Amino acid sequence: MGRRRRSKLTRTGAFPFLVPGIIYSLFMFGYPIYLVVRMAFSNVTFENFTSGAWKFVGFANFRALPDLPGWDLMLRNSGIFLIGSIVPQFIIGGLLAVVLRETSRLRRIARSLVLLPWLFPAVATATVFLWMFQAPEGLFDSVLKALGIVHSPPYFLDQPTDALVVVILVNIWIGIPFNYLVIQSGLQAISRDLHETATIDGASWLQELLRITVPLLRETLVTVLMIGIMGTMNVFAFVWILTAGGPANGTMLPGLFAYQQAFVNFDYGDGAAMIVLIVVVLLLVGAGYVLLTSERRRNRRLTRPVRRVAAAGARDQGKAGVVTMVGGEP
Amino acid sequence: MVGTVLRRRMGQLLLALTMFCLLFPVYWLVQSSISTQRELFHTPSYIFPPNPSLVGFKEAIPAIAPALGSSAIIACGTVVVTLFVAVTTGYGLTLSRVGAGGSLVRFLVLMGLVFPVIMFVIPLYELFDHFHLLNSYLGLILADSLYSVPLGILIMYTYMLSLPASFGEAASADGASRGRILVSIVLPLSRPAAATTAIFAFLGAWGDYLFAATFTNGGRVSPASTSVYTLIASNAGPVSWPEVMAASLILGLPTVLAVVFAQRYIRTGLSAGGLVG
Repeated sequence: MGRRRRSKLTRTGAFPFLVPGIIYSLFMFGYPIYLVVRMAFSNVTFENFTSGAWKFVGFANFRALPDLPGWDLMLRNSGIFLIGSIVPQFIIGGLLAVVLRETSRLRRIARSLVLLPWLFPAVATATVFLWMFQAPEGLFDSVLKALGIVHSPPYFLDQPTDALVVVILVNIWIGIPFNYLVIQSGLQAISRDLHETATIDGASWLQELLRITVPLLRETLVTVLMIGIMGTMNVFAFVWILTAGGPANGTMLPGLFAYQQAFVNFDYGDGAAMIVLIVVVLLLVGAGYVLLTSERRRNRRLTRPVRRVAAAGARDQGKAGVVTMVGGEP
Repeated sequence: MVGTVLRRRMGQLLLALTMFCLLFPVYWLVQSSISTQRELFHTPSYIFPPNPSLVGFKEAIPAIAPALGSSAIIACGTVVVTLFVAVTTGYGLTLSRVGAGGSLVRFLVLMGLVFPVIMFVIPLYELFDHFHLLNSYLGLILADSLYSVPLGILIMYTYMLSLPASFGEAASADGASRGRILVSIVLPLSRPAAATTAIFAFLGAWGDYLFAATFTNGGRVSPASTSVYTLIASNAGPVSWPEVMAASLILGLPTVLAVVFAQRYIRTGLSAGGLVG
């Protein structure tokens, strides 16, 4: 940024261009945020919604949340959903990133197609999986029957546990491309030279993975984890269409819970309270992320030798130095 | 040497397997859309329909055609709103003092990440109810722009900052106004960034279900995402899966086209987001 010379001239005249953004932010960010906080602390129901004459009720909406049906399952599901999605997404996305690093025409095509699940409209994703998991006519039922695993048709989406598994599977499918992209960029930061020299030095594939790739990917892991948490909080459309949080709240998740309070039960106050709770969690996660990554950035030089090796590899192309440093590792 | 070959084979196998899992649902969508209901209900399932037919599309197109028009209006409107806000703000930030612009952009991105889209649905419902923007194109355009405005500002700002400052300086020495410099110099140079922003804005609005389902009631304004949902949710008899699959395929078509033909722009946008290098 410092590259750009700033004269008095370039510093002036910015304000008129910022006006649309300021108006937009006030109308689309500022006011809605104020409104949702106000609703969270007010009694807002179907009757007084339009009038705007809402009674301040303090923390009553928040206190009411744990007693609402589905709360306990929502908490449990969030944990299962988060872990069950992030781990496979990270592993599969990571493997893809490693495998797709080499170049060939087929891989080039694969690199573009891999983005499809992430950008596909949620409704289309939901309908195709709904059809695949449909019983007794759908694909999975047919395959399981053909393999002799089941004899009576499994109604996947009618059983809470099965439905949660299906919802997690779909979320993994949607999330792999993004994990792939994030990990791929993390891998790019690790110099190719570093891997070459490690191989020349006789490091095995496993050693290379454990000693070079994994430690250097730690920051990427934190990023993926953070995005995973935010994604879990934000999940709505495809679950709403697949199961609507059911059966018996078996697939209830935070976003669905908030939406249900507001637009199914018409208790906008409870819905807003749930939203505020979600945002508080996300703010804490975001703050933790900033702390973790900036701490690491500050200590980059002082921490583990591998990091120093990577930095050296990136700084100077002289392989000899890198070889000795990698070789020096026990 | 044997180890290297084995590793390569394993890599290829792994790639093939993962790509199969990632793309199979899309294949299944296509094959189901050209099957008949009878063929789809056959056990065991056909891998490819024995008599491919377009009967699904014949049912789906009249059912969702009006909604597709609405989707197009909303998505294009969102592109316009997003580009307008992102270009002006991005340019304004490059003009303002370095530190302020950078930290404001970082703050915006964090906002976009921390505040999930779902948090806007309740307050915007109230806001739009107040301003009579429910069941209106403008309301949905504004709501859908939330998906793309933070990222759009970031993309435009980062890109404009990378342009050589000398262009603008030379023009202002010739007496050109700031607005003129933006329109005739900065904007033409920023076309790739604008294209990326437009693609994200379009796909975000086109695929939106949350706002569409909440802010419209199935009338003229309701976009295609809601009308596809109606096909599976209606209680009028059994679901016609060829029709639903054909409609879903049409809904997913812009994404497929974007991924195949505009992959470069999608990646550019992501690297501007700072999450992906």
